[in-house]
Amino acid sequence: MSLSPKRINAVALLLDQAVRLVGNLGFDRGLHPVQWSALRYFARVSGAAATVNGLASFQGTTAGPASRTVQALVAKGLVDTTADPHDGRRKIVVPTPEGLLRLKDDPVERLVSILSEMQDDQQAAFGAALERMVLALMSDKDPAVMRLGVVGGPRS
Amino acid sequence: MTSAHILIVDDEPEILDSVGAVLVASGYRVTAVENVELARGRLAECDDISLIVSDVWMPDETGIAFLRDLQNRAFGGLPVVLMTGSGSRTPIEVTAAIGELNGAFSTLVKPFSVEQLRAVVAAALQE
Repeated sequence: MSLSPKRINAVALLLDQAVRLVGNLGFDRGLHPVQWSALRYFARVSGAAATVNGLASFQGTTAGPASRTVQALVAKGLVDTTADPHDGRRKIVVPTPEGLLRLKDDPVERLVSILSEMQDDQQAAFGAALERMVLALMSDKDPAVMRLGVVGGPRS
Repeated sequence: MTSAHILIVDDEPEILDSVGAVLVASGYRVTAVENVELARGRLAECDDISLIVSDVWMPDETGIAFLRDLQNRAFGGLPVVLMTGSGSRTPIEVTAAIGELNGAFSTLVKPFSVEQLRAVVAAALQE
């Protein structure tokens, strides 16, 4: 059964509100959403990816804003920078023990908790819908992104 | 005891060589192929593959499409470790989340260390 256009609009507005609420929760827990994203990123990567340029590429920004995000995290004691042993001109960013501890307050964990309480079919449908939504939004800039999950996709 | 047989899929020959060399040195048997079509062929020929380590963005088909296809076939229980880079078409967190949503065991972010590769492969094989 498909929803009416009015109800679809309501779903879109609720999704927008959910995103805002998660962002607000992140602020309440002491970090800007971009800083939460960066902290999560540095906890996951290593080597050349664990650099300001790596973060800039990941967040779709330039070195300037990424550098300011790293500086803010350093000032809060959540990441440290060390010289890359393979390239002295580059600095590797690593989360501090306090940074890793802070990730336990990651606002995404609240979403995990809410999703865990949903029924199995709701979780699966929500996951599939969000995957499609994220890929559709990214495909506005790069249509080939929609190919990510397409079995037997054409060469491009 | 026979060592585990691992299928590596990546369109970059350097990655196939380096990942393959680490896994062979770790005692595993390795089959390395450059695309998903060849990977499907190897899976059809070999019944002893116990893990797939696959790149995400490849020219013929993505690693996630391959993973999704595996879930719908007899290979649904085979663990899959994905590999992606920060310069990839989709951000790492999005790629990893979509991969894990579709059943990937884990996602390695290139460049990864030998220790990270060994640890993820060992954990995936115990799954």
